[in-house]
Formats: sequence, structure tokens, C-alpha cells
Amino acid sequence: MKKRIVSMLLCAAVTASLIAGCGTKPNGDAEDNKETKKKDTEVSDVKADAVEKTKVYVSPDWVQSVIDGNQVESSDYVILECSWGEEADSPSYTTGHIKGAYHMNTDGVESDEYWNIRTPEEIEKLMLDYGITKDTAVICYGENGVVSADDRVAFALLWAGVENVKCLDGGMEAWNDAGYPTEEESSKPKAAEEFGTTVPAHPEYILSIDEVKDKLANDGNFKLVSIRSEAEFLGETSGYSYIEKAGEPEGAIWGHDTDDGSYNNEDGTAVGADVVEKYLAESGASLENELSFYCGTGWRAAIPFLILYENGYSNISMYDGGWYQWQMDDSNPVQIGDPAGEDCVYTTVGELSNDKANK
Amino acid sequence: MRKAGYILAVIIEAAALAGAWIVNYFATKKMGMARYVIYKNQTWEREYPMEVLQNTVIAVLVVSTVLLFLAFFRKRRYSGKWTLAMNAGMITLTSVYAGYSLVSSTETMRAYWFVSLFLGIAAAIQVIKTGAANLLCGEKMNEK
Repeated sequence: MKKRIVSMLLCAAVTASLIAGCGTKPNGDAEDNKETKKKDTEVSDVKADAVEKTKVYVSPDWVQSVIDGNQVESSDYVILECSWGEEADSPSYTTGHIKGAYHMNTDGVESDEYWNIRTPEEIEKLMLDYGITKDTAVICYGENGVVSADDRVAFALLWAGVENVKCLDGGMEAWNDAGYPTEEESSKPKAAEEFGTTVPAHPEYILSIDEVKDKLANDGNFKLVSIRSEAEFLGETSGYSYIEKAGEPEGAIWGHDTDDGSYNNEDGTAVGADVVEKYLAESGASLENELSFYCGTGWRAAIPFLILYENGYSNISMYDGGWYQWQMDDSNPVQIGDPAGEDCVYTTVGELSNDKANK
Repeated sequence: MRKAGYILAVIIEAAALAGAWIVNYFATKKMGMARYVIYKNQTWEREYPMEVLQNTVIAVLVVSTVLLFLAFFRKRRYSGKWTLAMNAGMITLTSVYAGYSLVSSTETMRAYWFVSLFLGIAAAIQVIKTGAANLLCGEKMNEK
């Protein structure tokens, strides 16, 4: 009897260790990274041209020059490595990050319900916890120029009222290509006490689902721009493993996807407003329209918003709820197919099939 | 036949417990999994009376567990250690399921409904297994 119990316990232990082993990432990547890192002992004194406060996408040289104390921003800045998950579970932070950067879990700025930006109170507390005030220069970065976690966080900061928000153009990939140093030690922010303005300072940057419906019905100059893949726009797939219905809000136009590199130059940096203008023209819109960008849950849409923001456009916003929130109400009107074509089908969410989740 | 049924029940029970752990683990490690379980939470809560269903299942399992244990207790002289272990396992799993379901929530654990479902399956199978073991024990008692 005892033998049987002991052997059962052994089996359970072996099974548990096998499962745990499957979930553990091999540390080969980390070791490779270590080898390629620059030595911290090198003295850096990079100088780069100053940029406007409203400039968002900045070069690795500019970021290093801030760290080296050669910019106005050097006196009060925070660098955020933006990705989903807790710090310990974020290899983009633990395997090497920009010196002094803090990890920002995107869940910190988004709430579970619709993955919309959290309440003003929550965002203000988050920023204060990170030592950010409205006057702090905040430099966000993600894995590369395509992953939009940093753009999402940057957008939330601008909405809240931070006046000087940057994104490292090309992300960590560009940083590594430039050969600037990284570190693996965790950095912890020192909390600030006062943010300095009411959050959100720019509520107009976000449109609610009801505001979108109202503008689509009553404002001829308003354009709801889908920043999703063509297959998502045409209703062939929801684009997400957890969303079963596919389609677009009725009246939306296509503005190309950011995930396929349409908003990146060959070197991974962000494109200019001219490219956004070209995409809009394909759908019969222009930079003169009132533009509201959306995607699935608000990450991809942040990129064209930021591109136009840094180019001085103010007729822009984000419909934060995206397709995720739109498809949760059976009565919402939906288009399937290209609205410029004759075969576009108009229906409601309730009539959509539930087999369009991304496989 | 009995042995095959028992082995199958053990496999399903182990798979349910492993499933609870795996879903919960990946819901904290993978963004896609986290969003998937949250979306399912929302869908289930919208479409089904989840709390009523859960409370009903808890009540059925707890009552079954108490009745089966009382039946075992009455016949304990004729029961072997294995039946005792089965009853102990049943009480443990039912307690874990009921405790987890009543104490935790989607606020504290994203994979709450998934974990609760898997623990419920494991507890239910253990109740059935224990019931069968108690019945066998009763047959032995009648033979004597």
C-alpha cells in the first residue's frame, strides 16, 4: 500500500516537473544577448539635435543624448520599456533594457472590460507611481517599430496630459542596431506627488462608442478609419483568437494595418504623414477630414494618431473601444466587405456568425 | 471493466487538475491567453447565470460528499484503507472546489471560471468514484 502511494506521488512529481519544464523559456537567447552587449564602462557623450516637444518618434541617438545629459529633457525624464505582463515575465525587459528604464505593463493603462484606457484616477495614480508629472519627458519603447505597445502607452500619456512624450523610433531593435548599451538590472521608479494638471488633459483624443455612432450618423466630415489588416476589414477574420465575430462598424474606411509594416520604413522607423495621407486617399478621405482611428483594442490605431499628432494635426482622435467593443452589442450596425464595392453586406452584430476567430 | 472505468476516471480527473493549473499559468504569462480567458469570462457571465449554476453545483457536490462520507462511516468496519483514501480525496477535492469558487473571483484571478470548472469536474469525478467504491464496500458487507 505504501509503495503504491509513494509511486503515485513520484508520478505526480515527474508530471508536474515536465509541465513546468514546458513552460520555461530556454535561456539561450539571454546568453546570446549578454555576449553582444556593450560594456557599461564605456563613457558616452552623445550629442543630438534638439527636437520639438510635440515630436514623438525620436532616434536612438537622441535618447542616448538625453541619458548623457545633453538635452533639455535630461533634467526630468523617464524611460519606459512597454510590453504586456509583469516585469519578471517580460523578456524584452529582463534580457536587456535601456539603462534606467522601467518596465510598463500595458495592463497598467488598459482595463479588462474593453481594453480601453483606464479611468483618469487610475492613470493618474499609475503615472505618479512611475514618477511622471505633466512636465516629465517620457520616452517609451517596445520590441521594434511594428509592435505597438509603446505607442499605446504614449497615447495614454498624451491623453492624460504629459506634454513631452516620445517613442524610440524602431524600438529596441533600432537601439541595439545603434550599439548603445543595455542593462539587465531592474530599475524602480521614485513616486511623484503631484501630476500638475487634471487628468485627462485631452479628453478629446478618445471617442466613446456612442460619440462614434453619433458622428457617423450626423457629421459628413467625420471618417472612422480602421487600422486593421485587409482580411479583418473585409470581415474574413476577427483577427483575434478570442473574438468570434468578424466585420467592421458600418461606415468605416480602411487605413491599412500597422502589424504588416505598412507604417514602417524599410529600416523599421515610422513613416511620415504623407503615407497616412496616401492611405486615406485610397479610401476617399483626406487629412482635412475629422479622423478617428481604431483597430481591435487600441494598440495599432495609436500609430497613425501619433504620426499625425507630431505633424501638428489636431483633427484626430481614437475610437478606443475598437472592434472588440463594437461586436459586443448585437444591435450595432456592421459592414462585411469593401464599402466601396457593390458586394458589401450591411447587417448587425447579432446576425454575424461565430466562426471567425483567428485560428 | 470496472478497472478500465476507474483508470479512465483517474485520467480525466488528473487532466482536469492539470488543465486548471495550465490555464491559470498561461493566463498570467501569455497575453493571448489572458485576453482569451477574460473574453470567455465576459461571454459566459453575459449569456449564462454563472453564479446560480456554480452555487447549484457546489451545493450538489457538498451534499453528495456529506452523504457518501456518512454512508462510508456507517460501513467503515467493512471498508479497506483504499476506500478511506477515496473518501479523504473526495472531501479534499470538494473542499478545494467549493472553497476556491466561493473565495476567489474574476477580480482576483483572471482564469477564475476556467479553474473553477476544471476543479468542479475533478471533484465530481472523485465523488462518483467514491460513490462506486462505497457501493462495492456495501456489497462486501452484504456478502459477510
